[in-house]
Amino acid sequence: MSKKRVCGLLTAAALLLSCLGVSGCAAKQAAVEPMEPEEVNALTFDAIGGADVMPIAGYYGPHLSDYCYNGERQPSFVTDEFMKLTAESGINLLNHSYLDYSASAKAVHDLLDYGEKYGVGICVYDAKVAGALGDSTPSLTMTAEQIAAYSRHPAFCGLYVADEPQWAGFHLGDGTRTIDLYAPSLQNLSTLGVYGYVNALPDYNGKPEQYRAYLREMITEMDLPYLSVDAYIWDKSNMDFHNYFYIMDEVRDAALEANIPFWTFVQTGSQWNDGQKHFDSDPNYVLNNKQFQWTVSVNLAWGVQGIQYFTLIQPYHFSWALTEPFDFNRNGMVGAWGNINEWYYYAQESNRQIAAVDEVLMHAKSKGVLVYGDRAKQDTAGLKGIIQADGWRELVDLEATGDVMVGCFNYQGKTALYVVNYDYEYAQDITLKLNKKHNVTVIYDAETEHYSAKNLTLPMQAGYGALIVIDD
Amino acid sequence: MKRAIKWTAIGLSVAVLGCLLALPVYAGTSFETLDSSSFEEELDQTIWNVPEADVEAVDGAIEFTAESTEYSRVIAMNVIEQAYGLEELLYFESTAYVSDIPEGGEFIFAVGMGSIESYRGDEGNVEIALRNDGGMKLTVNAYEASGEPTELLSPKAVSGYGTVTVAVQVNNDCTYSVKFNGSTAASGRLPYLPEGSVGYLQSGGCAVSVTDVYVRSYAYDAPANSNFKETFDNDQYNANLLFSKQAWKTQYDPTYVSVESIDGNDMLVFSNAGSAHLSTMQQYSNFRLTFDVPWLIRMTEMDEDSTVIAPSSSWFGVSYGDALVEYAGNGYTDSPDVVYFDRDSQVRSFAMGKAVVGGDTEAYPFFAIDETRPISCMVELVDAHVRVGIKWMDEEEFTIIGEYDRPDGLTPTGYVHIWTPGTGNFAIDNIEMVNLDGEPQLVEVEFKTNKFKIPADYVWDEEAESKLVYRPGTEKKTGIGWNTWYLLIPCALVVAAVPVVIALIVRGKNKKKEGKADE
Repeated sequence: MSKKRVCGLLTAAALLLSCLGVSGCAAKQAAVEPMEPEEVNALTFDAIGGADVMPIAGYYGPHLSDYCYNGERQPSFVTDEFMKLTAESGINLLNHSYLDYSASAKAVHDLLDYGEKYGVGICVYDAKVAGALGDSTPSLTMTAEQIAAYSRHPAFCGLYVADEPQWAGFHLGDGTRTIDLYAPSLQNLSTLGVYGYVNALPDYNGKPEQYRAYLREMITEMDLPYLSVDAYIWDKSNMDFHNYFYIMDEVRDAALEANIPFWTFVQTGSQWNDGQKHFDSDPNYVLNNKQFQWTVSVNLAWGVQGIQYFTLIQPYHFSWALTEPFDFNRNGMVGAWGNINEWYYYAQESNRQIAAVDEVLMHAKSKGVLVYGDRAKQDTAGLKGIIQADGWRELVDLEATGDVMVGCFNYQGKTALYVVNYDYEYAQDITLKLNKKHNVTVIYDAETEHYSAKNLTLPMQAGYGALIVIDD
Repeated sequence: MKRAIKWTAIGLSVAVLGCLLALPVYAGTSFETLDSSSFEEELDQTIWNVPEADVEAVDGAIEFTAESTEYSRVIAMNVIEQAYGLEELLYFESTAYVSDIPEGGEFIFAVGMGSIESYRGDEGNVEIALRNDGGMKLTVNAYEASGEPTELLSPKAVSGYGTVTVAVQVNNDCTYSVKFNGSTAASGRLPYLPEGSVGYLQSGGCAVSVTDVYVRSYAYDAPANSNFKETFDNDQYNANLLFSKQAWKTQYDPTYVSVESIDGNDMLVFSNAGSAHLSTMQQYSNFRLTFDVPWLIRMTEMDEDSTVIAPSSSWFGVSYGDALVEYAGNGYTDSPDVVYFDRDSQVRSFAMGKAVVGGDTEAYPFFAIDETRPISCMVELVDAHVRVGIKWMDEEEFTIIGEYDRPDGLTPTGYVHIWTPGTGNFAIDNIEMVNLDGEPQLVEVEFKTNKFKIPADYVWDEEAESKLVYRPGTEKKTGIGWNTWYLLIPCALVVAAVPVVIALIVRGKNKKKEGKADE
């Protein structure tokens, strides 16, 4: 062998070694099969920006003055000022303002006009359509006639119909708000091409068979274009993380099966007062910003394509206290009398990130979730949506000092990952190890950067998430 | 004063209480009763004191056995006192089955006892005794001093065994009567007014079952309160004097009770209000309440689509003698009376069976659909007599358009309310409350605004929230991007290899040149 050849081989060997790295990744350079783009059936609204925009809803409000106490009247929130505030938070949809068109037509029209002005979609509640159930449901013709007054408004996004409908096979309650009673109304709306808002019950009692059946019953009977559920983790009486992800898993599974998107709720505070009692708050309000971002991040990682905040405005009875008449800081993005609470800013923060990543996530198919770390594994043990591996496609492994959750997506044939610092107390550096050098797009804290790397280290705030798209 | 006995509803017939109306009443009064329900199951120890704990209730009777001693007694907790302005002090009626009274012994029905542990013959007692003195005899004695009876009825032979009924009535002028088995046994004037407790005493060994009891007495109230005027200026009112509440909403928007400004004037507005009330925070007995009604919807208001936006108002009225400040709903149904200004411009009263008690529809058609003038209203209660007045707001004096006497003849003490049963669409202003008790107990009250505190907006500290805090013991790396650690060694190898390769190439070339040169 000539020296020239020897030198050439030596050079090649040196260069080859430079590609291996300490981890010895030479063995992991196996090619990743390309993905075929998959149909993504996300529910979107032209009123809020169309197909690239993830619906971000505020639940409860704005409404007219709803309460008075000892000579003081709650302000009306159907104002230009409040809608501007709402829009500035990043909310682009109002799914239940608590206005009834049948009683407050003018206020609903005002709300629609404000919605158009600020790019916020409005779901209208009309008791004449959604309040008459079962055999009393108005006919298709009557429904069409009734909604004609507002359904053509540019900000109109649909009708609010039901929250947590009951079903004998899962939870019957008082039996007055069952799926079959609401179904005719929703079917009418579906025929008319109008979206009807329905939100499912969560399963806090661990009845998986019944719960699966319930979700499918809802999807089928109500002809749902999406599946929504409200499950809350930051409630001192119910801090079961596994149960939280179990609910997410089942809802995701039912939605994937039906090829519809799923939405979830994020709580803005806690210590709710459905019982309408008077009590003094625990002054340690939950949740803080890190916990809040964690909640949004894990939901996005699981493939949620719509986020709803409960609540936008604090219902007045949620503020009832004992020593003082009210606690307006207890929950709600905005307190019952109009003060801005911390969760407004937390939502604004998360909404900035959502607005930066939704163009990808609204066109991405959830393929499962990776978890790293004992805590994350424990919280998701046995769930269908978990990918039982150290990596997925170009992501071959991950290194971190704490727990990490990674949502895996088929983004029109490309790999997209939603990486979440699962630690909601501390920041950590998370290193993604790719099979080879790739051009990647990273969106974190609403900022987009492009890199060309094989290993990518992300310093991430507690609870925050980052979108990684493997561009090539 | 401890009220340990049961209060009953104020509602006796005029026939029974007609005798009570003789004297003027200057303060709130109500009557109290005690009856057999106090020992139906067991002796209610909040009503009866048994000093020796040796008397029990058995089968619905207070049972004194033959083993009783002179200390075996039962005395009511309630201390009866004269109620100012009323005629009667007390009425005490009791039925007992007398099985045995030892020879020389006596069983006593007593009034005016100065203590709930009084003994036979104590000062203040008026004792109606069944005495076995060679046969059963009835006696009545008053003890102005202990052990020193004033005989009011000499021992009178009676049929004292078996069922007996004793009834004692005492008036505030010390006149009295005693009935035995329905017949008057004694009457006259007592040497003193026997204020105190009623009960049963004995000399010992009496086997008597008290099967029935009824005691009627009165309480005198002169509540401490304030005269005040409220104009709602500065968008508020004194929460130490007034409280308002809307118990439930109506389907109309907006629906509320709150201080609002109409034509530049602050007033308390009931707008599409459901059941709602304004209450005094102090209790009143004799009073006069006046208020303006500067805004009133008399004709239903509709929008261009004929949708009702504000229906014509319901009646509004004044209740008094109420037990509570705040009610969950239409609490006026429990009131001793509601004087209400009705939609036909007549005034009615609940105490009078909702009969018209006043009105002048010609001079004051206050609810007429085409009427626009604001009105002022007056409701006054003095000595169980109610007067109702009205005027147009710009008039000086009220015109009395109705008056009546309360059927029970009483002046109840309690909170005063202005009500709407819903849907109320009116406003009130310039409320004035005056205590009309003969000897008013007026107190000063500080101003406390009804407004509650609304917290300031949360201050978002972006810098603090964005600061990365790592778990102790973990390393912090900076920057997103290349991971240099993983490239360091390979790069070093490349850097090290390059000069070697170059050297080898150069050496190889030199040798080649040398090889050619050799050739």
